[in-house]
Amino acid sequence: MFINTTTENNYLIIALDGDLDASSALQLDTAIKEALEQNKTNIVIDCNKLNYVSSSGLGVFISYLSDFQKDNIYFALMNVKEKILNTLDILGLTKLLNIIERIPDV
Amino acid sequence: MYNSSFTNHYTTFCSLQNLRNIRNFVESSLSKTDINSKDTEMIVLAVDEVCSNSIIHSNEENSESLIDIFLKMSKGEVVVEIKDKGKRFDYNAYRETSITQLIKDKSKGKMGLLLVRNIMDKIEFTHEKDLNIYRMVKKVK
Repeated sequence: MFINTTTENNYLIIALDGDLDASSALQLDTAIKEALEQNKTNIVIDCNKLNYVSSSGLGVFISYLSDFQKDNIYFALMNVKEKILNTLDILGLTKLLNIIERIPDV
Repeated sequence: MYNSSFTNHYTTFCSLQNLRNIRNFVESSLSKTDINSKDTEMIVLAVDEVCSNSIIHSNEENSESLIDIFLKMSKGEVVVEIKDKGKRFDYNAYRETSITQLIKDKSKGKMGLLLVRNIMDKIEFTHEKDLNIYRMVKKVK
C-alpha cells in the first residue's frame, strides 16, 4: 500500500492506495500518529484508491476514535467504495465513522 | 450453479506479505463459480482474517512455516479449511468484545474473528496431531 499525505484547506488528507491489511496497517498507524504529533485537527482519509480493508486496518481507525473525540479532532473517511463500505457495515462502523464524499467547505 | 464439487488448494509461507497471494487465490478460485461478487468479497475477507491470525499469533510470522488453504466449492456452499502447525489457538476461549468496548479500550485488534463470525455460517476449530485446523462454511445461492 502507498500513502500520500497532502494538505487542502486546513485538512490533512491521508490518501491510501492499495490494500490495507495486516501487512500494511502499521503504515497507516504511523501516518495518523505523525498527524497528531504535528497537532493536526482535521484529518481525512482518502479511500479513493483503497481496494481492500481487513480488520487490521479497521483496528487502526478504531484505536484513535476516543482520542479524536476527547481532543476534538475532525476525522473522516472520504471516497469510500462500496466494497469497503460492505466491510465497515458488517461491524456497524458506517454508523460510528464519519464518511464523507468531499472535503467540507471552509 | 456448477454440477460437481471441486477443491482448490494453496500453500504458502507464514509471512504477512503473502496475504495478498492468499486473497488472490480465494478470489480466482471463486471466480470459476457463479458465486456473486459480494459473497466472494466476504469469503476472501474471512480467509484473510483467519490466515492473519494464524500467521501472527500461531506462527509468530515465521516465514519458514507453512500455511495451507483448501477451498471446497459445491452446490450451495463453500467450505474453507486452513491448516498450520503453529502454536495452538484456543478458539473456544475466545470471547467477543463489542465495538464500543474496543473503541473505549483503544484496541487495534480483536475485530478479525468478529468479522469472520458475521460472515461465515459455521466455524470450527480443531487441533489434531500438531495441526491447527480451522473449518468454515458459507452457504451461497
